[in-house]
Amino acid sequence: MSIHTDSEDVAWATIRATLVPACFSGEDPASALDRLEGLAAVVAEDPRVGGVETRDPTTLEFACEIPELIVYTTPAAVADLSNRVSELAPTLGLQLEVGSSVHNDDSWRDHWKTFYRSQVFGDGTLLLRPSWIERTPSDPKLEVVIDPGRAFGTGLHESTRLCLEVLAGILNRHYQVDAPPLSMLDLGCGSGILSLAAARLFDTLDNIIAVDIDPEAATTTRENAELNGLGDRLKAIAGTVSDLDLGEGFSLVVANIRPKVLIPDAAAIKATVAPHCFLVLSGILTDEASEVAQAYKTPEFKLVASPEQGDWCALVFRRVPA
Amino acid sequence: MKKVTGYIKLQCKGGQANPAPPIGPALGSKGVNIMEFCKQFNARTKADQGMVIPVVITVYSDRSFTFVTKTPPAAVLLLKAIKKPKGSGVPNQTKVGKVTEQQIREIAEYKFKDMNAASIESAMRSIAGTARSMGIEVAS
Repeated sequence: MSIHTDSEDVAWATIRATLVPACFSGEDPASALDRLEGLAAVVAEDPRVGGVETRDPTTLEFACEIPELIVYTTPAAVADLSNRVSELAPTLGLQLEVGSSVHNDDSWRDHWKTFYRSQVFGDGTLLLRPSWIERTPSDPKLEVVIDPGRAFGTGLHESTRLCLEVLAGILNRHYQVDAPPLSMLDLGCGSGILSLAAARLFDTLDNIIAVDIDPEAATTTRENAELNGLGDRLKAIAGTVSDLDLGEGFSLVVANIRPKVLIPDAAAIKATVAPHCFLVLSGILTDEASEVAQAYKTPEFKLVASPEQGDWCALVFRRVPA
Repeated sequence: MKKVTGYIKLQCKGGQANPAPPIGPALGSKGVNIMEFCKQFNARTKADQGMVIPVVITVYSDRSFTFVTKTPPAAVLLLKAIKKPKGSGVPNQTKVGKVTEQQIREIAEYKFKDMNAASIESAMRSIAGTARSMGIEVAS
């Protein structure tokens, strides 16, 4: 997934359809709003439409008392679609004022970057920053640079944040650690964020295998490893734990995936963990935790922590020799 | 607790959100990380590929976001019930179809969690009102 920058892609168009006040203030306003959204749904089915936005008093930046629709489309389709909106409106009992605009600016592409902030994990242990934000003198020495991009894993989601805190916690001896990890398996690696964070946190790690079912994630992980100068310590592979021969004896295994994968693959995932070592499971909603824990808990796999953030939780297991 | 700045209400096709125009500007102009939204939305709506899905995005002061998908508008469900692509231009004079009270109840029950209605009966009254505004008769 990439944002095209070709000049022909810059132009875009909007159709603005505003309810005539009399149409909204009369009878049941909720019904008028529903029919307006019904119109949006019908128009959004057109392949030339990227999406249709509804604006009302609760919406961001363009809040308006009288609800309106903004149809996002291309300049070529704008006249035809405007006519269609005007024709459809009365058939849904709506009176609308319809106008359109063609836009040539592309400032929207990077606007979100102005709100983006670096993040710090593990009580000041690890900095996570995008490449466009410079380091400051007070930042932690250890850092991973990740630009939000094609694959999952920017450090913004609770499931990733939980894993990063656990990794930093292992380094800071918040868990009972016999020896620093030498090898790591990262299942559902996405952008590679957890592998790269672990590589930065543990100098001892020189055999990191990052796996994702999405080949694009494996490619992105390789790119991010190069960006961070960690390419020689990490191998990224596309596939799943059950169809790849990943071997066993990893001294750190992290799986940030959903329970629909974690539960059926429990046996295969547990087989990769070396004795005395940690298995960190994430991507789990708090109300799913007991079911996942059940699939992993054995006398050999001891649940040592289950940290939570918001609706999400992680399960930290330690393999103890039977 | 992060402060909610506002909502973005969007209808777009499941599994097909794309950071390029024309959808990109809808999110990008409001400071939302477009690629992050597209990845999450497409992953969550993979099973409804190509179907128009209403989504409400909650945007926080740091421009992080969460989103929920909603049931289709009642108007769309009513058109599906009468198997017509549109309603009547003159709903008082020309009727385009008829729905039964049972169909109104089914739509009300399906949509109830997204509606601001105190009971199924009041949700049914609202949906029947929507039907009449579109020139759809409600059989009693």
